[in-house]
Amino acid sequence: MSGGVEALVAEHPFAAGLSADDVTAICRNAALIEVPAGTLLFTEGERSDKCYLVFTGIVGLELYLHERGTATVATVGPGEILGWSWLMPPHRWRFDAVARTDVAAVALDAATVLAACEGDPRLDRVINRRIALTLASRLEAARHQLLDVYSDGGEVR
Amino acid sequence: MIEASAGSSMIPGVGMVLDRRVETPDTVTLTVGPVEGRAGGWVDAPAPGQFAMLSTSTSGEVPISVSRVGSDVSGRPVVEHTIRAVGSVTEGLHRCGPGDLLGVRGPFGVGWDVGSAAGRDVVVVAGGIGLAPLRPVVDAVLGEGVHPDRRRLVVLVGARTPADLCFAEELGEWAARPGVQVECAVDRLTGPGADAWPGRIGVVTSLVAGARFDAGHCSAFVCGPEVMMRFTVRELSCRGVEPAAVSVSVERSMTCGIGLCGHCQLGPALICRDGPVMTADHLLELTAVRAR
Repeated sequence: MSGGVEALVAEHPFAAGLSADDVTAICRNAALIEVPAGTLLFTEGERSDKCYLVFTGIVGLELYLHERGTATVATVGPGEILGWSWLMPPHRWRFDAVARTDVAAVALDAATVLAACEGDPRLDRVINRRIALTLASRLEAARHQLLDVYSDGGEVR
Repeated sequence: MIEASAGSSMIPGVGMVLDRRVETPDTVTLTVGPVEGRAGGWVDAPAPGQFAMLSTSTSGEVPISVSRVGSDVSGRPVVEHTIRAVGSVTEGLHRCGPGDLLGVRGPFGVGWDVGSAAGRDVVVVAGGIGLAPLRPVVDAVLGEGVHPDRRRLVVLVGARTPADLCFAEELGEWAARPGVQVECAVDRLTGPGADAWPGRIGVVTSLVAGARFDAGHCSAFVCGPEVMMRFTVRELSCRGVEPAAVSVSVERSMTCGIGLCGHCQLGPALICRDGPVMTADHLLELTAVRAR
C-alpha cells in the first residue's frame, strides 16, 4: 500500500521536482482515500491534520450561513491540493469540504509532513512555496470572482 | 457583404428573423436570413469571428458577432447572432422574433484564423457570452475532425452562475465526442441549476492548468471580458503556449464598423478593421500603454 501511495504522490503536481526521498518522507502515514459523492471530508473548526492531494473528482468548499444554509464557494479538482490550514496556526479547518463527485485522493499526514520539514530546511522551503503558490492562485481567483466580470456593468449597447 | 445598395457598407440591408432561441434569461440567439421574395440578403457568408452591425426600426445599431453560419435551401447564408440584453439597442434586438425585420450591415472585421490550427490541438476559452463568437471555431474544428491521440479539442467555459451558461445542451454534445474535453466553471453557485451543477466553482482561468492539450503544439482562441482574456493568456503562457499562438477577440467601442468613426481606435489599430480578432502578442503591444 505504501509503495502504491508513494508512486501516486510522485505523479501529482504537488510532488513535481521532489526527490524520491522527499516523497518517501512526506508519504509516511499517508493513505489513499476513495469516497463517494456527498462524503464530508472535514468540517470547519475541526483540527486540520491532513493535506489532501486530489487525483479524481471534485471537492466543494462550503460555508454554513445561518440565513442561507450551506454555500459552496469554491471547488478543488484533480491535480490540486485540498487543505492548507494544517500548515499554519490555529491548525483548524476554515471551511467544510464535501465530495461533489466520487473522489480519489491521497491524505498526507500533516504531522508527518511538518516533522519532515522541521528536519530538512530545503524541503521546508519547497513545501511552503508550493502551498504559498496555491494560496496566491486562489486569492487571485477569489478577487476575480469579486469583480463579477460577467455582470452587465460592462459596455452597454 | 450583405447586399443592400451596390457597393455600400453604410446602408443596412434587410434580414428576417427566422428563429429565436432563448439561451439564458437575458440572452437569445436569433437566426437571420434573407427576406423571402426580396432581393438581397447575405452575399458573402461571414467567417468565424466576424461581426455584423444589427439594428431594428426603432433603435440604433450594435456590433454583434456571428455565432453560427448555415444556409437556406437556395444556398444563401443564414446566420445566427447571440444577443445579450444590456442596453436599449440590445434589448430591442432581444425582443425580436420570427418574422421581424432587422437592419444588417456586414460582415466586418478580421475573424478567427482557424486554418492556422490545422493539425494542432485546439483550446477554446470562453467567458460569459464570449462563447458565442467562439462557437463557429468549435463547429469548424469538429467538422475537420478531432481525435484523442492526434488532435484534441478543449473547450473551457466560465459563467456567472449555472443559469447564465449559454449553449448548455451543445456543451454536453461536444463533451460526448471522443477527443473533446469540455470543462465549465461558475463564479457563484446560486440561482436556477445550482443544486444540480456538476462543474467547478471558480474562475475559468483555473481550468487551464488541468486541461489536456499539447501546449507546444496548439492554437488557442479566447473571448470574454477583457480582464478574463488577459489572465487566460497569462495562464496559457504558464502552460507553455506562446502568445502568438493565442487569438483573442477584442470588442471595444465599435460604432461604425467600417473604420471611419475612430471610436474603436487602439493605438494605431482600429478594432473594427484590424480586429476584433488579434493575436495575444499583438494585443499586448497595443495595450502596453494604458490610462491610470
